[in-house]
Amino acid sequence: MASYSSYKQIVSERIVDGSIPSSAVQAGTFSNWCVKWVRGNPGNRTEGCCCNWSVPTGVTRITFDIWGAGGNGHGQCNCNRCGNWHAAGGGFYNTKTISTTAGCSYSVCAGGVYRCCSRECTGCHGCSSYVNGYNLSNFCALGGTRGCYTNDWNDTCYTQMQRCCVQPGAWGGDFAMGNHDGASYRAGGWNCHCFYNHKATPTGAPFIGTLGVAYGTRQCWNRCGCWTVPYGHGGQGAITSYCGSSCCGQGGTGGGGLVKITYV
Amino acid sequence: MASYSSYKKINGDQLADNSLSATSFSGSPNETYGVKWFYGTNCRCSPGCCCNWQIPTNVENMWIQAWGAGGNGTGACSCNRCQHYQAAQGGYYNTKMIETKAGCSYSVCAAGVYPCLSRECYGCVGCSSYVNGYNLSNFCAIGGCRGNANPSWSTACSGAMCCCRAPGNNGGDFGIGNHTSAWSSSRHDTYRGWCHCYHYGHSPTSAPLIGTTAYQSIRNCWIRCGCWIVPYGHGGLNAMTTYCGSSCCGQGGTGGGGLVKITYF
Repeated sequence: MASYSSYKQIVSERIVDGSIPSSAVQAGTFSNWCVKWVRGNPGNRTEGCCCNWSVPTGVTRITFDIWGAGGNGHGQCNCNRCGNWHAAGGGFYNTKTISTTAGCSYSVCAGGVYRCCSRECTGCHGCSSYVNGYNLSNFCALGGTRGCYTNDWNDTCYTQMQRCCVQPGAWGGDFAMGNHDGASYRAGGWNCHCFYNHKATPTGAPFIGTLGVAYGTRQCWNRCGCWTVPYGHGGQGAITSYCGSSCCGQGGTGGGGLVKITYV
Repeated sequence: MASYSSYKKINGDQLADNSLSATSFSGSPNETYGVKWFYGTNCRCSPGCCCNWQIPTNVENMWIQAWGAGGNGTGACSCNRCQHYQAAQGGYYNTKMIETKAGCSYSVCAAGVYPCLSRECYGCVGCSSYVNGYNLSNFCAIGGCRGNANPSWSTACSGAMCCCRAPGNNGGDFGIGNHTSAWSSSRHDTYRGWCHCYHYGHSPTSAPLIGTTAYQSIRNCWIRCGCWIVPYGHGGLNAMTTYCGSSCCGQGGTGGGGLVKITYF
């Protein structure tokens, strides 16, 4: 039975179409659109960033775009002949759009990197970025493939989706994709005096699109993978154009992962 | 003449300023927001994905982004001297923002690739991605240019726009393409004639705003096919050889499939 208070209430059919002026609506009522970035510091050996994020008032829809961290570069580990190396790969990309409710809480983690600057022939894979919470299930983006160093001159130099050929829809997302691992270059020369060891190119992450990270030497005892690389990008390796050196060159770490949250 | 029901109606100007806030509404006016991706499987001979898509209730705006498929790689077609190789180009990008109405129907096609693994001195051009429907006219993103091979050592080693699209072409608000890759350079032993070459490398290019990488090189090798799947929109890998007079059977790889992303509101 209708009460007095329910009788007083106004339903939308009782409002003349198109008659409500903008002055009747509080500022900001419809403008809750926003973008939030979650990321670690951009430096070498970044630890990434994990946090808890609550959905603001009035927000009902979210798009998550996430990128895994790049793989770490290889160490300079040659022994008795010229080396042949494969550069590290960029992190994978994944995205998901969901309905949500104000006040919902999400665990958000932008992947860091393994804090190893490898002296070994292989680096470390990049760490995954992920988001957990309401209407999400196993949603993540894998880290990029590590770099590696080999003395095998029979290795062909090419790039491929070495670690994981992801299909769109994998890992709890609407659309995911990866990049090829890093490119390699085989040196000129023979046995222990190599030259033109250029140019290995770690790859970037899809939809970030950083290009141009490379490393190489012409004649150099030891060249570490020293430089910080962009978010999601594969790290630089350590290289030499000789062998029998002290094998102390360290590869660099990949770029940290990213999470972008667009909400309305 | 006013009826009882019309008499009962409230005119909005009777509402006091700032009397309505987000809590006055049963749902957020923004809850129609969504993102939809269209793509084929990520494989070497992807057929792409074409379908009919209907606008959800209360949606009035669409932002369409499309990427064409990457071009296919060339075959290793060496004949009587060292070859030059030019890798394939990534697919083009096009975008359009339009008004629409709930229930409108759009034909959406994320391009596949020609399932030809070329043995010839050229591959196939990538296929176009497109969207057709209300408030759109000839909207598409064309595929990337094919890879090529030739024995001309005077070919300049440079990347280029094989098909220069101005922003606003192909029915969009803004379109852009990438360069094709540079022609590879190589070294050769003159004392053994023109048939002993070494150090080839090529890098097919990516689609704009995706920004992926693929690469292949050989030093001394009879035949190397362009075997590997490349990312969406990326140009395919070439087949190569550092010799000539071989059986010429190296097959180039296909480009990456096209993509369509629709953000609606």
